[in-house]
Amino acid sequence: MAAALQCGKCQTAIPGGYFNLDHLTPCPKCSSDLQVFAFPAMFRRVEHAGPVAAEESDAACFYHLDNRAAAECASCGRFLCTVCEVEIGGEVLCPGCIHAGVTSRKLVRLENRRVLHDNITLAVALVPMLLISPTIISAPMTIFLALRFWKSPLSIVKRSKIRFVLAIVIAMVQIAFWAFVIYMAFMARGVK
Amino acid sequence: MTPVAYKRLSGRRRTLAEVTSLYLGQDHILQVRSSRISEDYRRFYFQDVQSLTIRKTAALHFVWAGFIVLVALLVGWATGDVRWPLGLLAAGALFLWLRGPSCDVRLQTGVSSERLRSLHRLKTAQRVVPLLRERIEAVQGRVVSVPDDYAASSVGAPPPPPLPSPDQMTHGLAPRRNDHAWFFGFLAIEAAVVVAWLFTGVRGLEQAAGAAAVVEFLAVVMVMVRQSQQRVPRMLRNMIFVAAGRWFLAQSTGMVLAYKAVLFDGVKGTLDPMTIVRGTFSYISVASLAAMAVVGMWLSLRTYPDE
Repeated sequence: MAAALQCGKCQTAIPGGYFNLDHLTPCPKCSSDLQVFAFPAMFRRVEHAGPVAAEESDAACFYHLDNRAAAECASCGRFLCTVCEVEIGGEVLCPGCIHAGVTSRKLVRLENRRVLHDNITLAVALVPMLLISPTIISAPMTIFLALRFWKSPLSIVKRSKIRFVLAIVIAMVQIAFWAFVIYMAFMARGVK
Repeated sequence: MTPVAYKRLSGRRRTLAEVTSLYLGQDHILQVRSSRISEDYRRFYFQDVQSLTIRKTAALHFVWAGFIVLVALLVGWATGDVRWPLGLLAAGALFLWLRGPSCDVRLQTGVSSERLRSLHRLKTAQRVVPLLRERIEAVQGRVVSVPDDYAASSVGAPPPPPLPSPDQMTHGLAPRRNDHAWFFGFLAIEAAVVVAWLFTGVRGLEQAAGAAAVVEFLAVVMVMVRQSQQRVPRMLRNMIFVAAGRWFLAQSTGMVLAYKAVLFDGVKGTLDPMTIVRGTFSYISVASLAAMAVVGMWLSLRTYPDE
């Protein structure tokens, strides 16, 4: 039996008659206006297809020698049984390649977190400006960070390198400012 | 591995702590939660989505409303003039009205139920969810009929009615007459204060009228919120919207006229055109206030005669 959908407010089961209507409809209990779109996955029965035992003439799974191979890894070509095959983006991969892909960050589809180095670099350039004097250290640090992480992957969605560029420009201005201050200090000492 | 191309969907939720947005991939929906330092991703594959539910929540954003009222109070305190905070409140009311009601969108899969935080405005949700529905149905197909073993349908609940018509207001929570009756009663008192001020010119009454206008704003917001959570007849519901519109018009026109009066300051003491315009406006404003109070009170009492 498919589990019932519940109203987000009163947790009452939403009747099937509410599904896929083209307008908001009040919940039978709490009267909250609801619009529910249900899809076939809701009523799909999950069938557990276990691996088939390999016979002598069959190709066996690389990881489970007793199981008959059902697919081939698209990356390394190893034979895989139904337990081991994992479909990602239309390709069947083995657990080893998935692990390698995640650790080397080549499998973008499995990444669930990324550090935004460009935002951090821009913050390093901007925040010390509030106190002015720390920029003498933060300006070179900003340029170092921008160059160090220039090629590192940013967000997995579209994102330009404008923050890096902006951070570098700001850091250059700060360095120029400090160079001018030091020059003026030397000049003043020279006059004395 | 080929990079995944994403298309950003409308709607974005910004808080002090994070920004949430939604993207459409080739075979999945991507929810991105950014803390500005890092991003966390959550993927929902089209083939796994069981349902998408939109639930209308509040008529306006309480945090924004509170912020606007706070700023208006601060401006009023700083300037010592009631017109500036009233103008700010009017602008804020317009801003909130343009943003529309908020909502809660949930995406359910076989193992989880996740809130799509970026779709927190009903207008946006009703634009984006059909797009998602189209993509999901392209993968899964459509639900032609709900199977008999669906848990909720086995309870025997009747199919839902269509959107409530003006006179259909008996289902759901019982509406509270007090909200509307109190509000329109307050409008009547406010009208009386303004009339007394116009005819006597007492300074204290002018200040009381100014304070009443601020309270009226807060009251109309409160009633709008409460009626959004209840079934209220359309006539009475619309009266509140009209009251909000009247308040906005009166305050914004009053501000413009006050500004104009400054320009006409050179002819102070004479019966200049601006004085006539301001006087006429004041009478129209108070007449509309009184009319609204009477009609609203009558509607409230007519709708719930037993309470």
